[in-house]
Parts: sequence; C-alpha cells; structure tokens
Amino acid sequence: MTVVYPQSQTIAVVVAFLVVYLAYLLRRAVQHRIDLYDFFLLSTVAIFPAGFVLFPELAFQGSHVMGVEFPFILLLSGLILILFFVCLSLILRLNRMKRDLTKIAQEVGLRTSSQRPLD
Amino acid sequence: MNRDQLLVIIPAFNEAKSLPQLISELKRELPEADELIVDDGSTDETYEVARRLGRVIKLPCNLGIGGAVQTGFKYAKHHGYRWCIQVDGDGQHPPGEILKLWKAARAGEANIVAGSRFINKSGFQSTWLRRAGIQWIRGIIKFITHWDITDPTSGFRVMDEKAIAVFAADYPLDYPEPVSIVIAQKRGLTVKEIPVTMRAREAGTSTFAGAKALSYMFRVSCYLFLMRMRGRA
Repeated sequence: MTVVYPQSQTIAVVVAFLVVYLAYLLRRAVQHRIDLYDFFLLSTVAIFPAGFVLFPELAFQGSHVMGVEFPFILLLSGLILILFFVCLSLILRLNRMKRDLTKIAQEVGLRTSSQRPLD
Repeated sequence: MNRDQLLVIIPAFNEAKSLPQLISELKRELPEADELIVDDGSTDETYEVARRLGRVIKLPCNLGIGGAVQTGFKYAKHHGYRWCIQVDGDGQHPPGEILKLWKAARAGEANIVAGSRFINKSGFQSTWLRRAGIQWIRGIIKFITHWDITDPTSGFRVMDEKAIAVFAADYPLDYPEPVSIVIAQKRGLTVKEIPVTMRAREAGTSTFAGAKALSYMFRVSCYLFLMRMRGRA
C-alpha cells in the first residue's frame, strides 16, 4: 500500500473550506436558523473530506479495509451516503411536519367554526 | 348532543359556483340531514358562499380531499352524529341517491355503504382512461383485501358511528378513497356497495387526466401495498 500524500495547496483549500463552512454553519446555529442536529449533520460534508486530506494514512487504511483500490472512491461513497442520510432525515421531518400541520389546521378549523353559531 | 341524524360532509376547494345548487338539492331531497361544508383553503368565494348556505368549517390552508373529509369526520364524532356521508362539492354525487345508501346503512347492512356507478352502469361513467385506472385499483384491492369493490375511487359513502370513529382518528391524506378501504378491513369494518347514478362534475377539472393518471395509479398502488404492510409491521 503506497500512501500518496496530498499537496500543500490541496490541504490549504480543503482546510480553508472547512473553516469557512463551519464558521458559516456555526453562525447559523447561533442565530437559531438551524438546530444543533442540523449543524452536526451538515458539518460532516466538510469534516469527512478534510479527514481524508489531513490524515491520508487513515484514508488508505480505510480503503484497504473496504477493499477499494483508490481512497477517493471511498470519499465519494461516503459523501453520497451522507447526502442520502441528510435527504432521509429531511423527508422524515417533512412528513412529520405535514402530519402536524394537518392536525393543527383541522383543529383551527374545528375550533373557529364552533365559536360561530351553527344554525 | 346525540344526533340520530345524517351529517352530509361536503369538502369544497374552489367550488363557489357549484355549491348553491348542491345545497338547495340537499335541502330539498334530505331536509332531515345536516350539511357541513369544509372549505379546504379555497382561493375563490367558496367560504363566503358557504357561510350564506349553512354551517361551514374553514381550513386555514389546503389539506387536500383526505384532510378536508377527515375534518368532517372529527366534527361528526365530536357532535355525536350516528351517520355521515361525503358528497363532493363539484356536484358529481346526486343528493337524490343518498337515501338509498342511508337506508342500507340504517338497516345495518355494513359499517360503510358505498355508492358504485359500475354495478348498474348507469349515469356518468367517466373516461376510458379513468375506468381503466379504476379497474387496476379494483384488482389491487381485491388482491390485498379479497374484497371486490367495483368503484374504489368513489367517495360517495355513508358511514356509521364505528366507521366515523375509525376514520376520525386514521384517515389517509393521500388517495383517501381506495386506501381507506384497506384501513376499513384492517380495523374490522364492513363495506357494502349499492348501485348509484353519478353525474359529470359541474365545474373545475379532475386531477385524474393525462400523464397524471399513470402517476396516480402507480402511487395509489404503492400506497395500497404500504398500507397492507403497515398492518403486518
């Protein structure tokens, strides 16, 4: 197994992205625009590739364990998996919100109608 | 309040034009029944028209037919109605046919007495594409429940107290008519079909047209199987 170390420019770009992206997410979290769960979920999109670049030995070992020849395949698969998980989490939350919205709308309709004379 | 009466639930989305005629027909044919119009977040004058015509529930946003009808079931349960029927606001369900369904329901023939336009094949029979779709859904429901429901997309159904209680708590928001048949079987309700004559809609457009029809059939099929699996899970 030959470990190919990333060039300093690559490390600089990935780390810069990690810092800017995490700062952006943290700002949104502080402003209550996203919750802590969203923050951790979305930050994996930057942390995961950064891990590959900053710790290439680990990336190569990981790809070796998984039986993948090139670590970037593992990186892409991991990112797709994270994206899929984010989508799944959004779909589950949207469905729960749809059910809640339906119940609330029905309750509002029923309550406001009962305040008016029926006949 | 215990009412041994029939509540006619009329889900209405932008049905300002067809409501006055429907309500006047209902009052003429069924003076003993109460009407409840559920305005499903209409953008036209449906609510103003409905308020002049009788009791109305205004939903703050559009929930779709399932959410609107379930609101009616909740109202019926809360006010102690023993019977309720869904009559579409577009005028497809002739009020004169309700008595047939109600009579069978009062005789205790089933918890749900549904009107079918395909038993006697009289009146409006819909387009060939819609009929093909209905046959497909009928086949799937038969496969899942072993019930042969000839008109599974018909919402023209009288329900008794037991069915009202079941559907007030659990009514599908998407594709409610066919999916509710599977729920009915799972919850131990009985269904009987009675031949009725239906009319073409007076205003508005059907969602079951063109490419949407294929998408509708596919999604309904998936929902039906999912509902079946939900019972096993």
